[in-house]
Amino acid sequence: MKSLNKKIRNSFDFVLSHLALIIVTTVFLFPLYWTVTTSLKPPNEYYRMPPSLFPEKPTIYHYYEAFIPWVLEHMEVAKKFWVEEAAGRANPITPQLGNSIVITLVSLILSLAIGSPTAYALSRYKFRGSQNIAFWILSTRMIPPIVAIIPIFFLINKLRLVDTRPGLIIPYIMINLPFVVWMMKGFFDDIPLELEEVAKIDGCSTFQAFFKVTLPLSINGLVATALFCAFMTWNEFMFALVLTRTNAQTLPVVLSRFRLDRGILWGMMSASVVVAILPLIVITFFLQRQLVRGFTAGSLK
Amino acid sequence: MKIKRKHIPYLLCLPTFLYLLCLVMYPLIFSLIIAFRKFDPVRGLSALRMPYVGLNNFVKIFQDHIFAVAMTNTVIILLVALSIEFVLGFGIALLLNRKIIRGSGIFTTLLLIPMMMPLVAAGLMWRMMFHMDYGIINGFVKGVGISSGIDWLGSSQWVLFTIIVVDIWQWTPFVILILLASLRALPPEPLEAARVDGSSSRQLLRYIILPLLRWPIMIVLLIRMMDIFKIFDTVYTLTYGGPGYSSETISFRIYIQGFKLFKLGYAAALSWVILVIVITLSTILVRLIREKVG
Repeated sequence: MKSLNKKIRNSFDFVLSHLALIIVTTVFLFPLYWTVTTSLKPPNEYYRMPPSLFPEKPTIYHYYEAFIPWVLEHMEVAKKFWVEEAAGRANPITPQLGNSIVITLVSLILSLAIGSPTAYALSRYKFRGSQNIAFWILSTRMIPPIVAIIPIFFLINKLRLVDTRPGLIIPYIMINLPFVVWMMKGFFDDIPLELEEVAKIDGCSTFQAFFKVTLPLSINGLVATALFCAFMTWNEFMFALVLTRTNAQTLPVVLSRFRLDRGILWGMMSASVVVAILPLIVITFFLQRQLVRGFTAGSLK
Repeated sequence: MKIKRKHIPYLLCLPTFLYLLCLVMYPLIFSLIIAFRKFDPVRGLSALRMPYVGLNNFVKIFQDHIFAVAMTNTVIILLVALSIEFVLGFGIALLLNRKIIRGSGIFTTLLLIPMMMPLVAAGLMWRMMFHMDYGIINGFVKGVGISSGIDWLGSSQWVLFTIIVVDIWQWTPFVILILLASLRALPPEPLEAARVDGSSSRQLLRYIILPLLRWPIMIVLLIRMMDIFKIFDTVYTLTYGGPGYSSETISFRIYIQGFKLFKLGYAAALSWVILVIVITLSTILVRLIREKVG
């Protein structure tokens, strides 16, 4: 009798815990669901009260509108939608997508190239001041971007790089470096030093030992660090807002304009948001374990 | 010249060191210089040609009524959002850590998604949902019959609430992520021992888990505190400081002063105020980390 009672209580507990988790997850994912469905609705469906939970006549029109609007010229449905959206038509955001991709890739490659040798030195050599250098690098992460933005604007302006891609890549490397150093240092710390020593006994030089033993073993760490940098650069807004005008605008900047001069073009806005967050959702699935390292800059493993 | 072996680590550190020196130390010193000057469009964007105004900018901070509003807003967001994020995040992390939960990996991954989104995108998504006439939230409010729709973003008593909601939505996952990882890394022995001794789960939490998690909890709270002091992107897209200036935060105020009104000197002075606050917090954080790392 007692064991039956316990069984009932246990299965009750089991169902209740899962139910709670499912509810919480649903609530947290709802805004995402809402954006995806809005991006698939024709205008008369999202300008409606009460809104419908599912798109009744789903359309990928807004994705054309946001990225390849020239295919719409010949579509009858497009003209109907333009009338419904009194705000009219907006420019596609394809150039900004391109800028975001180029700037993210270049700045993450350069950050890794500059930062990982430092991480290696801090992990492998015990030299005077190594601890201080490591913590000084970490502490630069704490500086609020709003503090650095005014002087960096002066600097980039002086270099005549405002509204160019290099003008954004330079500060982005600065943002990424502390993360690269602390994440990579953690990964190098995990590779046993003995492996390198064995290689040296077998006649490798320090450089050969690094390239033949340590580097291949730290590929996973490099990928995780690169993905984390990509995530940070892709999402960065304040520097991009201040340092660009039209030519070098990135996705977050052009997205932010949907609140102002583009009225409430919700369909196109949602389509752009979906494309902007898609790579990040992919990163989440790959990176989940390493995220802790990135977000706390290695202070917790 | 032959490179000596003992110089190698310094050479490897040099690029990072120089880079950060130029792009971090230079801005700090530079903004301190222009904090005592004022921008004059005739003389152009050159620090030393900007006229010197002494302590004027710093005096202005204390007379600036809107700065006081921005400061109060930031502190309100900090207190409310952070406490809810912590309780909610810790609860969910404890739930996810239970042995009976099936598929906790999938739940965790799904719960992390909000945190990975650009803040700008989060602001826009919620702006759409909080919309007075066509937003789903008012659709729900009207449907349940609580009221005939609330002007979330257009009324000064609700607007801070929207920022807090978005912050909780986006950053509770961060608390979950860190605390769940720490819970999973706990040594099993003390927990087993306490269970054998017949402790209830509440006692277990109070006397074993909380003390063992003291360290990650402090880090999470400090990192979130620093992030909330910097809150900008969400405010920019969700409310743009409005209506009026009722939802401005410190970072947003600095941005408006510096890049919309071109009061670069005053903005630099303001930025030093928040720098001092954040440095104090981060010194505590770095010292904690240092103790831990050794």
